[in-house]
Amino acid sequence: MTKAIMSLAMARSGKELLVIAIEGGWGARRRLTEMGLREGAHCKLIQSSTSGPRVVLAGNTRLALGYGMCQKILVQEI
Amino acid sequence: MPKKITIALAGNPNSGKTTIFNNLTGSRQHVGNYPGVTVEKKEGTLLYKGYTIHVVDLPGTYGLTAYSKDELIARNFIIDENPDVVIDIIDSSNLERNLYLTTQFIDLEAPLVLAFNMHDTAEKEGLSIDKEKLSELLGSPIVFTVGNKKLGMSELLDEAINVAERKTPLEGTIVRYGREIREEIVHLESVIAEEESLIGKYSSRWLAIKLLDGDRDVRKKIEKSTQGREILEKAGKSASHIKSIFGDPSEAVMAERRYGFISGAVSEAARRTIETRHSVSDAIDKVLLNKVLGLPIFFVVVWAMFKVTFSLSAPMMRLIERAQAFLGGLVSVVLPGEGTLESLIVDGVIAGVGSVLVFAPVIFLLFLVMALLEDSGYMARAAFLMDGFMHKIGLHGRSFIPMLLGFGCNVPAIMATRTIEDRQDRFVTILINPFMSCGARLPIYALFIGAFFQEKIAGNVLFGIYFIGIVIAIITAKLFRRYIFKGETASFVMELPPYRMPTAKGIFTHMWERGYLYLKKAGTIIFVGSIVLWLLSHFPSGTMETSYAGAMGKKITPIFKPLGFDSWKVTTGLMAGFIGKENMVATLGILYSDKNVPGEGDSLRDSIQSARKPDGDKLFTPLSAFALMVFVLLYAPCIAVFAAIRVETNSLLWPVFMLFYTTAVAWIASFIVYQVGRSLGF
Repeated sequence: MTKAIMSLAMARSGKELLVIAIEGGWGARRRLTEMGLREGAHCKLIQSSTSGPRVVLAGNTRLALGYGMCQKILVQEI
Repeated sequence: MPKKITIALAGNPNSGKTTIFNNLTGSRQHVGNYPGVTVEKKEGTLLYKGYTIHVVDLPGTYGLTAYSKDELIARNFIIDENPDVVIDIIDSSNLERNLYLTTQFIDLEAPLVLAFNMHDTAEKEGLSIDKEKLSELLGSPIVFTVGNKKLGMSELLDEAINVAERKTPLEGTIVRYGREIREEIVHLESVIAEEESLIGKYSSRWLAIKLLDGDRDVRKKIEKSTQGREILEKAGKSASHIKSIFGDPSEAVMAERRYGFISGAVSEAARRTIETRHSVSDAIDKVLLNKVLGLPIFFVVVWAMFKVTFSLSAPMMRLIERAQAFLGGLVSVVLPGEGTLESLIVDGVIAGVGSVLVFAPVIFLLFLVMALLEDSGYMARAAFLMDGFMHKIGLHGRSFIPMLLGFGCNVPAIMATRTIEDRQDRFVTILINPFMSCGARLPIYALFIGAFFQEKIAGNVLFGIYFIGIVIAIITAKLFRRYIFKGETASFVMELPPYRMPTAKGIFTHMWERGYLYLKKAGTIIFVGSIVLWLLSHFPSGTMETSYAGAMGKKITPIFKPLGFDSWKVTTGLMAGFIGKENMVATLGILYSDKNVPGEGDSLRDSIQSARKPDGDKLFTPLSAFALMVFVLLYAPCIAVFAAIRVETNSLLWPVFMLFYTTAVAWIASFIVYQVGRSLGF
């Protein structure tokens, strides 16, 4: 059974996630990749609020991502 | 003759780079700016085993693309200055991410030494690394270091010397991008190699890789060369070829291959025995970033920050002022009857030095607290907590603390904007900061509110003034964002570093570096400015009224007529406020102490209450007093703020611009207040 693809903004905290795609511009994608959040990698949402920034654990890095950025990151629960 | 070696220190933010830099260079440091930009450049020199080693601290970056100014600086330094060694500092407990930057140094063919820093923590977390094997796989010597315990420093220098002298047995390596990509790289390389204007300075392989990475800066460089269009066309073909094979844009495939190269090396040479993921940091974050508790805790922290900086510095500031008065008195005793010289020394030199020093305690204390918050890891959390709100007004989460500090004093507030990475965000935060009403403006409000408003509404009036400042700051931020600092608000992506216990040495070094920079740079401007203003208010006659400043005050007074406070005394007071806002009250005190004018010579409050215009009308009504307070709130800040903006923007343009627009905004706002108020019958 394949799990639904959703934006990181919609994901539930505490779940392991697989990054399917990052739909930002060249710069934003590059930045996220350098910081360890990249397509094909696992991450975990560890903090979220209704429309504020979120904290994501990617590898051993905690990243704070703005809500707008989260909407551009597509993930899938694993 | 000792041999000279240049080492560039590179690494991710939060990798402990600064600590290692301080360990290596000790106090022999020099802080400046990279040419033409506001990015801080730290350099230091040390003697080691007969070598004079020059260490340059590159900005902390996650990559070497042209995405940000910092990355471009780091990369250009390596290309243009050709350091003998690049020491890449790596957070051992976060290997994969940190090694991503390393792969870009490998692409650049930089002579690398890898410092696996904070090795003790990583070991505790169950990581064991086969140093020899990993060195071989990465083609560069690895040294285990623990920055805050000064472990591994001489080993690091030994390896750096080995690399510089080409005595290291390691032969370097290349990132293996796979057959398809390698073919495209080789193909592009051969095209680039024919272009003579490009080779020499750049390696053609690196240019080829960067083209496939879609690097804008490299594209621009190649575009300018004679065969540029041809090369770019070929690069486009290669990129789409890669895309057709892998289904992803070439830069994504390249990034994936780099991570593949890294995880290949790491899985072969490193072993993680326990799976821990900074559980301590997460536990702390559960409380500090908690939806309910997060903000209240943040406000308590900010309150404490205020308390420490402004309350602890107050007695020290008083002491400085007292010393200033004492010295002034001493001069009057030593130089009796020497009117002008005495005044120059007392009101010019001593007052000038005093107004520099008087800021020193507050600035050093502020930097101390900031360093504590920064080094412990809380600053990033504070930005996280405020980001949602600040984003709505077009600013960054990190802009909040500087804005808040502005209520105390704009000078440290402007210096606190250093934690904002994005230049656009940073400049907007700097330029709107003067609208946050600083503590020195309070005595002026107190004087006028006390004189013209009933006690029961006094609080509301004062609140109204502060509120107007905040509203205007927000409006200005939006306007600046739209018209001057265009472009997208930097999307909020920030690393939340693990919490760390800050070391006393680290914090004091931070504090000292920044505080010293302020004293040195801003001090000069403030001192010279004070002397110039003294000259203006003392010559040609020796009294304020007939001096150049007084004459200027009289000349520009008519422009305040539509604002309701056209009196040369007030104008002169406003001009004195440019040295320091608190001077305005003192100046008004002197100017309104003329015993020959009826009503004057009593308390200043009585004097301004009964002050009259030449036509006999009262100078101040509650409305015109309010208009004046609005003007005081918004007009050109004091010279120390001017100097701080000069230092922080590394340009004269911005502080001068700031003087004009703040004064223009002040005039307009005050005009609106007065005219609207009048038409409403106040």
